[in-house]
Amino acid sequence: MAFLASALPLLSLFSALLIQVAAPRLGERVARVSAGASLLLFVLAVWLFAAQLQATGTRLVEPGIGLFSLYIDWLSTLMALAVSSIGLVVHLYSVRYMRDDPGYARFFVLLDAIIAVILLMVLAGDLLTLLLAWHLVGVLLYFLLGHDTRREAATRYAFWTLFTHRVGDLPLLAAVALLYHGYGTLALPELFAGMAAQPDLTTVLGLPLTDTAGLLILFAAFAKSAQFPLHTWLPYTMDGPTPVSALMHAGIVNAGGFLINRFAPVFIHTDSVLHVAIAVGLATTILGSLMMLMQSDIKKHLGYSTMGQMGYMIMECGLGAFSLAIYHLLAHGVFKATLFLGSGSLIGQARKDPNIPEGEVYKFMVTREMPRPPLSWVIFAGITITVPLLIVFGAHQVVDQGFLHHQGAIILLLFGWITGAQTLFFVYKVGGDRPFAALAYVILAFALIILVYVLVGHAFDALLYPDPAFREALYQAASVDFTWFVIQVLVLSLLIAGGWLLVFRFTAAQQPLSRRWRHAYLNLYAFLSRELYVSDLYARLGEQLMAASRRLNAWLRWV
Amino acid sequence: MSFLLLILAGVFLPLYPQSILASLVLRRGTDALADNDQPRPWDKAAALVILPLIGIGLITLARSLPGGDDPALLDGFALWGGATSVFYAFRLLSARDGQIWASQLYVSALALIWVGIDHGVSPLLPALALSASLLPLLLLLDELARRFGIARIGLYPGLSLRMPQFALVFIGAVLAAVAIPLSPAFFAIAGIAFGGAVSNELVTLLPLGLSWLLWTWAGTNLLGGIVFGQPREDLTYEDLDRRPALAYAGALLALAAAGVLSIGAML
Repeated sequence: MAFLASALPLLSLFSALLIQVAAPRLGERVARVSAGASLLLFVLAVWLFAAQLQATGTRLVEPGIGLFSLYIDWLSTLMALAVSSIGLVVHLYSVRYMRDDPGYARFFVLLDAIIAVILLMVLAGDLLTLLLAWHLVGVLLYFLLGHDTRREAATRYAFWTLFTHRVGDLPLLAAVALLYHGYGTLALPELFAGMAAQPDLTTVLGLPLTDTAGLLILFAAFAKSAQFPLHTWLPYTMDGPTPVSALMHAGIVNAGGFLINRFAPVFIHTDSVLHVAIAVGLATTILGSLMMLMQSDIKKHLGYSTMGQMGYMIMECGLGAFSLAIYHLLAHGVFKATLFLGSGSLIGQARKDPNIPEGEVYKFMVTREMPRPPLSWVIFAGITITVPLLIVFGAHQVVDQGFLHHQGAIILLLFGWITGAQTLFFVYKVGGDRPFAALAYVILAFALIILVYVLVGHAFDALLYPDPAFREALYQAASVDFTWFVIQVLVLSLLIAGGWLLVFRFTAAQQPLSRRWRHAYLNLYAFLSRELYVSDLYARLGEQLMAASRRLNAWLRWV
Repeated sequence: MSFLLLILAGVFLPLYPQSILASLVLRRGTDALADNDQPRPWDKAAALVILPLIGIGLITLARSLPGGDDPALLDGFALWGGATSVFYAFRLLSARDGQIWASQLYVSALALIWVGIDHGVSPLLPALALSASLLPLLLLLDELARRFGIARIGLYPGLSLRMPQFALVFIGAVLAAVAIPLSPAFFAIAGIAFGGAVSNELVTLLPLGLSWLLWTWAGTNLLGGIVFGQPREDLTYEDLDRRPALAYAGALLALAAAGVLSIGAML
């Protein structure tokens, strides 16, 4: 297993170097070399994961290069498998997609290099290796996104990405420095053991070390995972090649969720730090989803969708459902990569043949004909509000009764409820000839999805955190005062149920809410379509700093 | 006496305003005072390595004298060094002339050594690591000056398309200079951060972090204005020959190896 773990990043790195050196001789075959290495990487990653599934413990491996080490556990091997599989798909797609690109060889060099670095990051066994790989991911992404060196826009947005990642690199450096100082070790297993033995250390400034380090790790994760307000780089990365967008949205942007899980043994000793993750994650998921609705460009739409999903992932960590965040990022990676890689084909097809079957969905989405809502809105609203809640609650009770004792689980249940209700509301709104038949199918599909989701989520929990006491400690670290929690849940439940009743009532009366409060709606629409002016603010700040630097240099005569 | 020696050391391990002299020496080589316009890369390379060694020697001497190890005195110089580093990193953002860019980065980087000294970090390896990381860039900027008359951002963009071998080693040199892993400068920064956090994490990490962030910004400005962009049709581009390109690439790899192997000694 030690050999396999060491081989993964080295193989990808070797492929990058080989292509760089032999590109003039290999010509177009560079893609086949790179894809071949990627396939081998995937096979080795599967082997490593399978070996770890049969292992009883974790292992620290030192390949003998400087102070670097690798950590083989269920999280690192699972992530290595995910990275290698997404990398393989991207490689295979790129073989033809990038064929006419003048930087064909350079693209594969960078692709292999970034895969090597990401593998190093997920397999890192010490703070220094993790820090080094974390930094390098942002740097290599800068060059991949700026692949078309002639385009100023590509270079500009690549810089936004690098700078934001850099803003996230610094808190991680600070966290690593504090943890090293506090526990006297860089090795992760020793660090976590030391922390379990002495969780109450303080920093030189007298702050609790675990809380300070936890907060810094969260900030580092926020930048990499495009959390609000460090999200502006994500939607503007569409100037890079489509395979890079796929790799980024399916893989790299998940780094924050991985980092939080890697430092789970730190978070179990924190107090209220995870609440920051809930707040930031919630804001990100709401804003990302809202801004997604504003987009008319398919790729930007997907970009903001990723922002919303990443917010949800961070929120899951904030609620103590760490393993669920890993499950989420894996599932999101698969479907988002598919969407990105398919978007190019879709655009091409739509240009040739824009005809869409003029069914009920077409009438609803394109011609905006409001179908007459079927039957009583009260009955439909009642079904929409109660059935998803029963399904979500029931599925959890069937799989793991103890799960709903955790506050975080209750909050996640609310989100499952909203998701199901949203789907059923859509059936009501679209209408059609047999609305209740459609409703029945949707409910059945929803129930099946939720059941599978809960089963797989439970399996991930048992795989990544086999110790029930540790899992419990994660939820405890995320919990709030019980009375305050009950009040929050009651208020939220009333708001959700009341909100749906309101929406149903106005939809039945064929008076959209957006028409009723038109002025406020238009203002909100304008504000969101400008992405809350956050990127404009950053651009202005950057210009002013540059101007101030120029004035200072001129005043000092450039010496 | 210790105080005066430390002030003098601030010429060689630059503290503003003594940094002006080091900055001028780096831009012009040993003929700086003679106002000779010809760049002399190896003179500057020697200055890059020798200046910090003289500074460290003076500091060691100062600390060996009575009162030289006064914590309040060293705290003051650490703050001064941190402020100088951030000050020059900020100025670096708008530097467009290659020589000015390199000299301002040099000052910003070496000023951080004072932060490490105050918190018990041995200065020799980090100083050498920071200087050595700047060396390839200094030499490549002189190559540009030889080809185009001046090394300047924005005058001849798009070198990646016209001088691919040069562009590749130039990118490596810029990344090494702004302390991207696996540059020795990265390990020097890490060493100062890890060692300095023992005494005072805020005084150590704040200037370190800010400077490093601004270096990255300035580095992308340099790359964007020279390597990327649309090349000019009215210029003649002459790429690096294979042998010098291999020599630069080998030097960069050697730097990376040195960084990896020296990290144990720096922590």
